[in-house]
Amino acid sequence: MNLRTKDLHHVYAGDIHALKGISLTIAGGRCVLLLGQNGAGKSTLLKHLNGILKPTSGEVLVGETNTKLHDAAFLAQFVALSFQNPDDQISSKSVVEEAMFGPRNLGKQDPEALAREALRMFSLEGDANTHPYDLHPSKRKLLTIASAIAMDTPVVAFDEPTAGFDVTQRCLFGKALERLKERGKTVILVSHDLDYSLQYCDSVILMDHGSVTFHGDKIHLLSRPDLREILRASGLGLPILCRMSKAIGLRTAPSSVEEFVQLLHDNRTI
Amino acid sequence: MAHPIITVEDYSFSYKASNKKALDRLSFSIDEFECCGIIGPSEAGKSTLCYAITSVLPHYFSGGKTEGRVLTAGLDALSTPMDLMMKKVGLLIQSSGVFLSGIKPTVREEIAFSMENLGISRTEIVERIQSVMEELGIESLAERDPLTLSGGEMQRVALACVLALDPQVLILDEPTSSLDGEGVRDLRLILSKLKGKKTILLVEQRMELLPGLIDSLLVLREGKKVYSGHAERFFSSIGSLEEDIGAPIWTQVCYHIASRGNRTAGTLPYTYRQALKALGTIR
Repeated sequence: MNLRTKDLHHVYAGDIHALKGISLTIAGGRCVLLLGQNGAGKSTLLKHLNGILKPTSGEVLVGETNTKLHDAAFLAQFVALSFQNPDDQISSKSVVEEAMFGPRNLGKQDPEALAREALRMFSLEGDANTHPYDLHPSKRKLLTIASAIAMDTPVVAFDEPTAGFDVTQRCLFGKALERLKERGKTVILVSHDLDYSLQYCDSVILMDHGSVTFHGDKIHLLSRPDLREILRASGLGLPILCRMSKAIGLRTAPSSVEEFVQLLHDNRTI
Repeated sequence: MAHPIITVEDYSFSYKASNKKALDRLSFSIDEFECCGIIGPSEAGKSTLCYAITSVLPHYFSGGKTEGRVLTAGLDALSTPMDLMMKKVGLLIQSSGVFLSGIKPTVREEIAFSMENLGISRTEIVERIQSVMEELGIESLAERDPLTLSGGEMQRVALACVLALDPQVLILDEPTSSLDGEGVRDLRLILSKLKGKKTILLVEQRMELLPGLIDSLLVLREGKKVYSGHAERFFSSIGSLEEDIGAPIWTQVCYHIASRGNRTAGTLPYTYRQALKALGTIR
């Protein structure tokens, strides 16, 4: 499902201009990484996609649906959102109930099957009957991610999904992203963790003070000679792998450890 | 010779209504002015250990089962009241927003609040606020409302509140987990300035932060000690990377190269510089 914004502005109470004319098209089935400093407008943009926020001016189209004409409950069938802080989201008495909440509200045929499948993706099936607040905080975060995926919507957005995750949990999330892509879902990822998230995305949106400063394929971004300057304008440093590849004289910047090793190999250096 | 400022002896803890030990017969010690990294998978007991050392556990998590001994700055951490312990040990938790009082209108008053609670004199409070704000580079935030700060700024203010009490030991529980790149760089700079002046315990998932900063390393898994000792030795041995612990991304690169070439012997780079050097010789 395509997502489109046309000259989208959002002004919060107190005259805070959070989005300043965003025009974007995100093609269906892509995984997009949304980057920018705290306060750049990333979360405000996300909240427009499922109608939690409405444009002050301009338009947001989810597929063919204009978010201005519908409420958030209706738009939930298209876009599922997983929040940064799990405690903003959790409301049920057991893990499986929590994961069923979304698909049940959407009137899906078998909410429990969807819930259990999503829990399995994150090795949470053994905790199905546990109270969400008895889960370790990082597992609680996995639960909010699983709950969003269980809604089986064409678009899924994750706000800082991997903060505080260990190696195994990061791997689980990476695999989940790949499965979502296989199923043709449009995925939007908001993350500070550039070194991790770059490897999973197809394209990148950079935001700064409410405006988009770059939108394009990951490969195009990584091959730009002014990559360092573009990232700095959004308050981001060069990813470590890019810094390393530059330092040893590679021309292309890799987005994952595996790609880095492959690049070295292709240059017949190992 | 350096003497231990934290001693944990055969210490176990289970939370109320849990039949699993969050910490399981843990023993280790940390010397004064040492900077120690604490790493391990989720549910290894890292946060529980922070709570044990700062005497938060017996006061906030009643009904838990405790065995063994924890000595912090000469005090028994299992029985010392928190107001006494707070003067010796500062704890910065993951969500610094929770840390702030939420009732003070300015950053300056927020920093004063923790000291007022401990009965420090007014003139001393004013002096300490000034020096801690300078140290952390947050003078410009002094009159801001704490609740309107960005994540990175809030984190620095929370750290200022802790440092204003001039603790001997500083404990940070995953301080970078919600910071952006710039915030991480700033925090690393602050920590490297504090290193050598305070004893520092740093719980981290971001392994790239550790080389050059920490002296020693404590690795936990499921409440048990997996490793304690020299940090570089742990990461540079190839075997450690096959675990679920993680390593700096440059160490991972060299590990993948080594396993591709079926090279099992030798050591892995620990710092970024070492990695560049190793890659240079490969080329």
